[in-house]
Amino acid sequence: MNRSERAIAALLDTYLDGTADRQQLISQNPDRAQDLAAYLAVVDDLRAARPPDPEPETVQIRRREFELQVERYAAERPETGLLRALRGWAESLLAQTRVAAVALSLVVVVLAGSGVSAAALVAPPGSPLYGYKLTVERAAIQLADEKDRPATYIELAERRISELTSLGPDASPDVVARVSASYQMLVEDGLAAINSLQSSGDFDPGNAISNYEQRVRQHGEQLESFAVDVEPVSNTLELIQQLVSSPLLAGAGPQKGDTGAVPEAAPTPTPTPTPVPTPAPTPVPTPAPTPAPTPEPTPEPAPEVVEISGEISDIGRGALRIGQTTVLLEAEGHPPPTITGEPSVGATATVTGIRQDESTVMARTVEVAAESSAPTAQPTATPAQTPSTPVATPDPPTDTGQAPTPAPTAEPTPVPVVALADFEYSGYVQAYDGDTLTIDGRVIFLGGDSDPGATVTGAELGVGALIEVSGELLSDLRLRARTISVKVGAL
Amino acid sequence: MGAGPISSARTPDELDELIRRSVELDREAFGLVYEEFFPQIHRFIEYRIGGNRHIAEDLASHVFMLALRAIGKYQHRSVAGFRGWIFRIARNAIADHFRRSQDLAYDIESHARHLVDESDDYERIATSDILGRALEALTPEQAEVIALRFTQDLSHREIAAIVGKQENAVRALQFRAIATLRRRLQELDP
Repeated sequence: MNRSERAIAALLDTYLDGTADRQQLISQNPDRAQDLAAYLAVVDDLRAARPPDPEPETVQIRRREFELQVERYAAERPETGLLRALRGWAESLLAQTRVAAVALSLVVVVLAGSGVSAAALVAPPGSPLYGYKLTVERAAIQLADEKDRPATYIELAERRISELTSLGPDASPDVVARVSASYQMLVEDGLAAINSLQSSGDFDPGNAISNYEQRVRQHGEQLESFAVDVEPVSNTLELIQQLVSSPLLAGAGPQKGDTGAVPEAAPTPTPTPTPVPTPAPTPVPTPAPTPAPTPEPTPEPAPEVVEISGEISDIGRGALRIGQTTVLLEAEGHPPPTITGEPSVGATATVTGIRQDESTVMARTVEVAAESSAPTAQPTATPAQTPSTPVATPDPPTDTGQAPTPAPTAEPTPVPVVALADFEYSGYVQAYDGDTLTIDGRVIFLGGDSDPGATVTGAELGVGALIEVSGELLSDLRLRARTISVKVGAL
Repeated sequence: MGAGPISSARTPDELDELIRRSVELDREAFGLVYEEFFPQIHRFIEYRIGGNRHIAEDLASHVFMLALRAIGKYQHRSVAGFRGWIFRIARNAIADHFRRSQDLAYDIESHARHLVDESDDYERIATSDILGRALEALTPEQAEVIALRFTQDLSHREIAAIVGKQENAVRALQFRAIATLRRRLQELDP
């Protein structure tokens, strides 16, 4: 629009908004009076042509029909609905772990809209979807209230114990190692979460550690009774012993800024991070206690090297999908693949690797064709941004509990980061450094070099401000703000 | 006009609560949400398809059935957000209707017939008949913005959220539409 048109448009808006009447507008704009009168006449015609409302009886009849449809839909959905499956999963987790209902419902609602199969949430170890399940669990923890996290971690750790005891004698060492590593990581992160909490009237870190110790001992007994390697339990017990005798639990203050993620947050002397439960050399060394005959051990098949190529249809945490094949980019006991180019949904890639099962390949090399057929169709793989604050290390591959060690290869592999869930929080800003803010114990990232950043409206943002923040939980478990509405400005 | 959506007997908080319960498939709450939004959707559709009340009723009902099927994916944040969501469903339903009927033009005869059915104000009928023919000159985007502005009293910002455009773009579309109508009306009724 040119200047004259913009002026008339603005005048028409004042007429439409009811802030000026026809006479006023015309008398105050004599140079545009003729034009203005013609435009106002069109507006009057458009107003007059507005259809009348439907008859109230019609609305009531239609409403009753609709209510019947709602009832029918609600009745049919339990058997088939993904949402119900997700909710059931969430409720069971809630019952066990006391994770804040609102946090889980956020995850559930977003997953329901994401096309994620409910099967992922009950995926057994070794399943291609198992890694996704671990990530979803992490997402639930991340969204939970800080004070609920220790209980959540230990309950999820008990899921790992249950999985370990149900694996059976033929389980792959890689699978055993992965579940064990997840167990250790959960316990260690739970302990770190305990450390990060202030002692308060209803929370005593010493008692919480003691509770952990008791439960981890029970885990060891469970594993022993099922003749499963107890190494992960031994490792975590060792860590607990170190924590129990540490200065922190003897009275030192909690570590500020810890997000309950890594055992490095533990006090000095830093407990020796538990070693990675390397692929167990003999995962199930003794016969199972059940009377069932032990099957003859079968020779390990020679690894099958395969090459596949095609369009990348999906990218997840540590994996991507080509056709019906899930290509793992990260797994314990495997060196990271060499990736050439930047994987993105729609790009064509050629992968060489070791076949894990019918539909899974552990990648050794990934070559992405330079020209992407649909570079903007989906959230594309972007290099993970360096978090400015400690965050939980996501499953699967890095949940080893190990202290950071130099990567075996110098070249870092781009890790696709995608949004897992939306979040909304409100409360007072506890810390703010320009890049991140902390609200209710949650560290929220405000943007970065490759990120458009959060939109801040209202008053000044800073420590003490009352805000409403919405954003996304990313697959690297960072919370990224999109909008921040400051209700009461910074102190 | 422009001070927000057409007034409701319910407060925003009440509506917000009803929508939250609807997401949980609470039959009564969803029924009340239906009662609240059906007239708005109906009016919008009727305006866009050229005034056939019966088709508008069926399409508006269809919009709510689509909403019911999609409610599991809807993340409720605000009443305005819900309004935007359901109007986007309505837009798609209208587009499907046009595709099915292969009639992308404004149905002048239908518009005039509706006015005869619904009103004895013959001066208005004559005016609206001419207007109906003038509306045919609008682009689909312009027609949509005009429908949302003049049947829903939505602000430019609210319309922008529904049609997925910037507020200034909506303002420009509205002005261009009114300018086109002015020109066409002068041609049709000099």
